[in-house]
Amino acid sequence: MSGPRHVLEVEGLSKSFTIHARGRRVLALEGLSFTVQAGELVALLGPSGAGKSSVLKCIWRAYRPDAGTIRYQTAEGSVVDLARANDSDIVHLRTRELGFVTQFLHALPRLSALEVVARPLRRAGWAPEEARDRAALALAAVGLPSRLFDLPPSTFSGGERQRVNLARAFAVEPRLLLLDEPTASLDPASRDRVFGMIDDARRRGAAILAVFHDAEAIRRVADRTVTVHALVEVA
Amino acid sequence: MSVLLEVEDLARIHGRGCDRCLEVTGPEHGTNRCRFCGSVVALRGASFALERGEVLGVIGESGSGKSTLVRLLCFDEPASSGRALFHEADRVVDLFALDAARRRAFRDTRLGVVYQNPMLGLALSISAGGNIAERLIAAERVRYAFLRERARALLERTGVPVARMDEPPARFSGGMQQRVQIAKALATEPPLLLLDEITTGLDLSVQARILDLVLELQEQLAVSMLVVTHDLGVVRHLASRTLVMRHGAIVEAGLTDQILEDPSHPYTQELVSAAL
Repeated sequence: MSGPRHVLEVEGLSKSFTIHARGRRVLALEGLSFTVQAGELVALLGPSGAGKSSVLKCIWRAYRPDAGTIRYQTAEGSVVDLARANDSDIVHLRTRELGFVTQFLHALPRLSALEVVARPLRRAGWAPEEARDRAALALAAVGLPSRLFDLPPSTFSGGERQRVNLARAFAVEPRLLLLDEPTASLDPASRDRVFGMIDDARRRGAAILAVFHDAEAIRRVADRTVTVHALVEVA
Repeated sequence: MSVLLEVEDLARIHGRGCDRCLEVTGPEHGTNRCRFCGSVVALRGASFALERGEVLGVIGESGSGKSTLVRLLCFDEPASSGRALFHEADRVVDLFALDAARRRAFRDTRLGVVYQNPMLGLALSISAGGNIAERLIAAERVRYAFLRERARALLERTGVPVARMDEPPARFSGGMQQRVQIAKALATEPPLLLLDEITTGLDLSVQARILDLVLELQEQLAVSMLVVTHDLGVVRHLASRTLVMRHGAIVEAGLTDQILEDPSHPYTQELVSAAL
């Protein structure tokens, strides 16, 4: 094979929300197309409210796209349209191949930080011991002090929680990473660490689609940018 | 991934029923009571598949039919129509076609049920260990030493102090009773667990611990679960996919985060916005 290898090929992606209680339809995305190759980071640009996060959620399938295709090349080499794949296939891909980092960490309140990171690793097939070691390494890589490993993230600061969130997503080494303002709550030193992790992920061939709130992050890690234009509401 | 349970067009009608029942009830009519014959359509047209090792959530308000679904699947109530196919390694079992003895055997060995009310799942006055032994005996595993050892291991696994295994659950807290119920349900290592509102009525901290236990067991035993609840937090933490029920019907099905973040049915939108 030659030429660029697209891990992700989005074509004509549209998304609207029908809010029944208000009798309204809100248009979020219309006809968006772009690609992301292996080892590449594409940053989504656009004003606040333009639908940048919606793009990520459509790919993760937390949102059901109205139209368009989201062709994803799996580790096995087959191509799946994430816009239409059945729910069970999405569950399977999320476990092994896709990663999503939002600004918020959702985890059971009592789980330790180490367990929050180790659990998805075990689910993806790592043996319990390996998962534990790997989780500890991932937490160390994001700069979480080891004295916090056994404590539940619900007791952490926003920045510490976000580091657990990042460790959880990166530890599995997903082929496609979706990052929604991953560094928003981090101090400069932690941010640099995350940039380093992003570089590592790219080197191993991960495709990354990201939304950043600051221009410096985009300058530092983005290979290309794609602009999402704000749309007007439909009655 | 392979399918463990396939439910097809399942229905349950209380009352004599008439040929207008299905026409005039359901989510679009805002009721499940037939205005012609007075029958109640507790469940209608329920179809879904549960995969091996999967946790499937079922949410809806009281009267939506979610507990009826559980009662039909564990033979507590007869289905009015529809099928439930259980896939074993070498054959497919048509559950509602089984005779009474085979139903009992199926329930004793293949199915674990945990109810909101421990009184339904436990004999509160006999010991915790005895409750577990009872289920093992039903499944014909009768050596005393085996029973005792198994009960001890199960209680340990579900976080019940083994020192209390000879005490009746009537003396236990609500959370502890739920743990004994879960231990009992797991006794015969069933591939399928039906959990009906198991955290309802418990303190928040106890709820979190029970959810934690369920997740741990699911991971270690790869057991499939149908988790029925009115609590969106429970499905958010436990279930990869979720069904939304109202007036006896499944009105929406999807990935759990999709149901919570991009609900499409008016009722699901109402449910989600009411909870947040």
